Amino acid sequence: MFLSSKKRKNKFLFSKHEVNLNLLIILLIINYSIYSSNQDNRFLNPIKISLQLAPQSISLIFEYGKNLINDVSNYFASKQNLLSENENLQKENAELKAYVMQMADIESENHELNNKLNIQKKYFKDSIVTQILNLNYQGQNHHFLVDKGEIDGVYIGQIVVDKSGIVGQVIQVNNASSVIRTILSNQLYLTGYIKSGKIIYQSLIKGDGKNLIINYFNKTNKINLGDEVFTTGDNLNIPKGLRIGKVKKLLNTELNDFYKLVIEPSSNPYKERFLVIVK
Amino acid sequence: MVKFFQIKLFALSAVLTLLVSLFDILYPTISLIISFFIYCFFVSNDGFKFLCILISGFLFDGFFNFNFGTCNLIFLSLVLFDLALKKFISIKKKQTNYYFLLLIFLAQFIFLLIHPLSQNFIFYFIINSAISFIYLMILIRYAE
Repeated sequence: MFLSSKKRKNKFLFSKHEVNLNLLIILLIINYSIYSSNQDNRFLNPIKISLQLAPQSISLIFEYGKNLINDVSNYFASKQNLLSENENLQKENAELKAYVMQMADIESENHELNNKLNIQKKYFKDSIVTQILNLNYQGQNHHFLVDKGEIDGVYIGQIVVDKSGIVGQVIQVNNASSVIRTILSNQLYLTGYIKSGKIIYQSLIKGDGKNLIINYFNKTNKINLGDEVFTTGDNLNIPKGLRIGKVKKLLNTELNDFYKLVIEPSSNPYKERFLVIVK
Repeated sequence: MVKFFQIKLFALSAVLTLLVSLFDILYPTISLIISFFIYCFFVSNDGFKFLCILISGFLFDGFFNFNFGTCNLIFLSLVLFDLALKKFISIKKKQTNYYFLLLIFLAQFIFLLIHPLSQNFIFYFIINSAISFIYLMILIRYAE
C-alpha cells in the first residue's frame, strides 16, 4: 500500500527512537498525576481558557462560513420557492381577477335588471324587460336588436323606455327578437310637448343622429333652455307624459319667426344593456 | 526546519479536528491527533523532537478542553507499548500498516477507557479507528 513506496523500504516494525524507559515511566507518572489532578485550579485553568481562545476564534470563522453557506443556499432555495410561489400567485390572481370581473358584470347586470323591474313595477305593469343583443343592427344607425319577439307578445309600434325616458320604438318583430329604432334616428317622429313653467307647447320632434330637433318653433312661444319635453301620447302605443329630453339650444332659422330647437335626449340606450318594452 | 514542519502538521491536525467537530461526526476529536503522534514518533524519519510531541499533546488538550495530560497519556502509553514489544519480541521485519492499526486500536481503546461511553462503544471504536487510520495513511502518503 502506502508504505510499499521506495521511500519506506528500509523501515522496520518498531520505532527507531531510543527512549529511556525510566524517563518514560517518570513522564507517565507525572502526566497521570496532572491528568488526575483538579484542573480547575488557578494555575491550569487560565492556561486552558487562554488556549481555548484560538480554536474558539477559528471555530467562529468556520461557524460564520457555515452560516454563510447555509444562508446562501437558503437564499437560492427560498428564491426558487418564492419564484414558483409567485408564479402560482400570479395565476391565482389572474383567475381571481377574471372571477371578480365576472362578478362585477353580474352585479351590474343585476343592478340594471333591478332598475328595469322597478320601472316595470312603478309605471308599466304589463311591460317586458328585454336585453339588447346587437347595436346598429344590420348596419343601420340607431337600430337595436333585442331578445324579445313575437312569442313574448311584442308587436310593432310599441315604445321602449329606460329609467330616464323614452328610448325608441319597435319597428320589426321576429319570432324571438325585435328591432328597435331609437329616438335619435331621423326616421322616427314623435309628438311631444315642451313644458315651460305652466305653459305647454306641442310640436313634432324628430332625431338628427345626435340630438332631437324641432325644425320650426314659433318665437312668440316663451320657452327657456332646460325646459323639459314629454310625449303627448297617441292613445295607441305611445303613453302620455314620457320624458323625452331637455331643450338644449335655440337656433335661428331662415324664417325669422321661427327657432330651430335642439333637444338633448334624456335616455342614452348606449349605456344600457336592458330596456323595457311598454305594452 | 523540522520543528516548523511539525508545527504545520500539528496545526493541520488541530484545524481539521476543529472543522470536523463542527459537523457533529462521532467523536473524531482524538482520532486525528493520535494519527499525528503515530506519524511523528513511529513513521517519520525527520527527527521529530520527543518534547515537541509532548507539548503538542498538551496544547491539543488545552484547545479541545480535555483534561491536561489526556493526549500525552495515550502517546506515552503507545511509546511504552512499543518499547515493551521491542524488548520482548526480537523480530526485524519491514514495517507494515498492521502495526499502525494495532497502535491506533490501542490508542482508541485507552481513550475510551479514559472517557467511557454509556452505549455504542464498539461502533465509536471502529469509526474513530477508521478515521485515525485514514488520516495516518494520508499523512504517510502526502506529509513529506
